[in-house]
Amino acid sequence: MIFAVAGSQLKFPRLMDALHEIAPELPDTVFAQTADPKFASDRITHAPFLAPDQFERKLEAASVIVAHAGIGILIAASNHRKPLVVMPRRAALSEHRNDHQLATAGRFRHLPGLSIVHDQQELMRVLAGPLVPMGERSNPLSDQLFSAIQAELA
Amino acid sequence: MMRLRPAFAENKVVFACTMRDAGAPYGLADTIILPDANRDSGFGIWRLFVETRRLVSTEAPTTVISTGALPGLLAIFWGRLRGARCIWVESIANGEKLSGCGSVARYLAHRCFVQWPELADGKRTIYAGAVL
Repeated sequence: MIFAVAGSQLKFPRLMDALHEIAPELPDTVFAQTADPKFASDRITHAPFLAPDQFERKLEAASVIVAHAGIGILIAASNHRKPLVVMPRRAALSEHRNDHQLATAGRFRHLPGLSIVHDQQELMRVLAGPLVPMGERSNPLSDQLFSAIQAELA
Repeated sequence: MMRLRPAFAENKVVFACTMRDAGAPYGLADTIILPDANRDSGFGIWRLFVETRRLVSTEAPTTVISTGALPGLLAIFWGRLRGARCIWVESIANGEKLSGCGSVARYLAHRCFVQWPELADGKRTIYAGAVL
């Protein structure tokens, strides 16, 4: 199951409509948390919001997570060791108050298992290709933080 | 906190948490449970104040490290009074401004790590990497 996540605050029609469009070509079914009670699709199953335990179960069951570029889902995908594909929200399209999701995506683009897409074509290409889980390899930034903390303990 | 565990692999560590069973998936059956409270909790804060004092007195840690929220901040308060080295690690979720507790912790703890370079002033708040 491809788990699509809009987050708990703002709907994200560009991502959900893209998933609706490409659903017939995808290798897996889609479940979407849309934050949008008005969203309609006969191709993907969806709910506006999920209770925390339901959300955890979906994360656990997912083969890949597709989401906005929020820090919460980055941490969740890393904790659950799932591949993550993010589409940053754009202020110019009224998807968020500013472009900080572009900055978030840019900052974490080095992470294994994270793919960044900006439109439906890129989303389709990434989902059709090979994906690796997040969080399985250590990264230099966390090693630096561990060293800094160890220095405080000494 | 579990993401920081490799940093104290060489140390004896007592974990405390507000959520029962939170430690179980990590093999931490003996995690100490604290009552949860935040700045809006009223009387719950006093209970937490007493419980964190008892915890820090009983365990007598040489270091208190917290990744956030009021229970950790109060543990740092008591740890500081007892002469422990106190470390605050601000959540990576806070990239635009410090949390309320983080704003206090940067004065209360000996060291306050932030996980976004933009939040570091190089003195009270230090950027030295991130868990992601």
